[in-house]
Amino acid sequence: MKIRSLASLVTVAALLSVTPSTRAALMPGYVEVDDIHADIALPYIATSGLWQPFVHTGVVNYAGNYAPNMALLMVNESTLTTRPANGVNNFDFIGVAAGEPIYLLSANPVPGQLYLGVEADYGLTSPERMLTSNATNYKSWDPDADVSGPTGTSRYVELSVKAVRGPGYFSVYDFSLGFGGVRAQVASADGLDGKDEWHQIPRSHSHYNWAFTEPGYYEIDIQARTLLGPDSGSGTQVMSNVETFHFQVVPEPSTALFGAIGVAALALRRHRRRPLHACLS
Amino acid sequence: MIKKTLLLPLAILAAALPAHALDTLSIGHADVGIAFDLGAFDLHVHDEENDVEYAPNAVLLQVNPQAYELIPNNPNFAFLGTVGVDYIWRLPAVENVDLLYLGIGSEEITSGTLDGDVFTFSLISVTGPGNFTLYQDGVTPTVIFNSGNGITGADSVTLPTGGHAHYNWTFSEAGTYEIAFKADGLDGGVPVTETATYTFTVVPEPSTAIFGAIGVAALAFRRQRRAQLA
Repeated sequence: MKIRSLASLVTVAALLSVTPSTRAALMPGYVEVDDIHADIALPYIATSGLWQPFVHTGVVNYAGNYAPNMALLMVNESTLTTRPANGVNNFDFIGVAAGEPIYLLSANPVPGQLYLGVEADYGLTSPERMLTSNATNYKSWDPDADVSGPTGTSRYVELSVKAVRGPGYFSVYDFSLGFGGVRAQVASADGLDGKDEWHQIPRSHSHYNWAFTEPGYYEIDIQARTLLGPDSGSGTQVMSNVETFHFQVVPEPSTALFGAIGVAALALRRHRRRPLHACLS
Repeated sequence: MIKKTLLLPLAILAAALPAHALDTLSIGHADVGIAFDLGAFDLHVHDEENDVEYAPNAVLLQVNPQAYELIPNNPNFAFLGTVGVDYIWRLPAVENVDLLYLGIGSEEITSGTLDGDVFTFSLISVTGPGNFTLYQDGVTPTVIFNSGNGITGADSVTLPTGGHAHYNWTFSEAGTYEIAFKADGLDGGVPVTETATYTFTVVPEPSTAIFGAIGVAALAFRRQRRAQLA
């Protein structure tokens, strides 16, 4: 592509870097959440009958709660790794070939990286926790079967990924399938088909591996549902709105650097091609 | 004599349980909690389900029979025993509603309390019928503690304060384990340390317990018959 104007140069620069305009869905004053233990949550509040989506970052008394559009979850440069090879486990669901670079927030805490979990009503204050966790509020159900059936095995809050908007593929996995077997909860590489979901036990939280195949800005839409009521009945399904959580996968420094060098070189070339009289006028 | 014979297997089964009465945690989320108050570590157990804290010697951490699993036929798990052959009991790092979901939490230690906002957590001793390990899942497992190859300085991990993580806790035999852990850190350059012993009870899975009881009863019956014939 030939660069024809300064505007074109700016456009290319914008494509090669991350600009605030790509984060339009975030509210002014949002916080960047990095290098800390944080959880994303969509708990149901029985007292109000409302879902309360938030990102919490506080480690003491869960004081640091943010609405999803006030928190940018940072996947920083140190998360750059390579996709594992297939062996006992198959990692093809990530969406790139073995050995290709990916950005990974680990299910195990890694110094300098965001340690991101998912929770039901774990981070709420005590009165809300007591109400929402009460066995008479959550009905036992089998989330893999018809929710109307009364033959469930336990209580769950289901979090489903409805859409992924970003430059690459997104996946969530852990090693809970049998003994050390990888379980892909979410994999956008093969499309989102209604099975891209977690099942959180109310009043608990879990950690997962969060993989991104390309640097850039991602919006992940999540919707929660659960069944309320006594186990003896068919239960009442309650669903949240679709909530968007925001991730910034920071470009690999070399990519950003080479992009900047390339733009600078083009600008310099244009400058040198300008007629001499243009420089003197 | 017959009564004694019948009581013997029950006594063996009872031996798997501690003699003293303690509050027991067998399901739900709990953490081995590490706090730091008044210049000293406070090691405890935090029952996250009921927001209750226990002194280590006031609570029994129970490993239910549903934790009984075959070690997968994967050489990465050879540190647990013979892969594809041996069985272990495992409290997994991912929540299972039938099992205790046990983590290690230092959320109560605020930033700036300890030098570098880190502390060292070490395995000191294991008293019990088998081996104990603590490891993290990954493409290959990361072994944190392993009593099976001797307890050395390698059985320790540096953890951040204000953190919380879950691990796999494994036991190679049923029975009661007394496991001592130590927390070390620096408070303004001054070393601080605390050791505490936690009690785990690993409940035999039903078939092993039943067959064991039948076997013991059969042996006792045979001994009794031989004694009568002599």
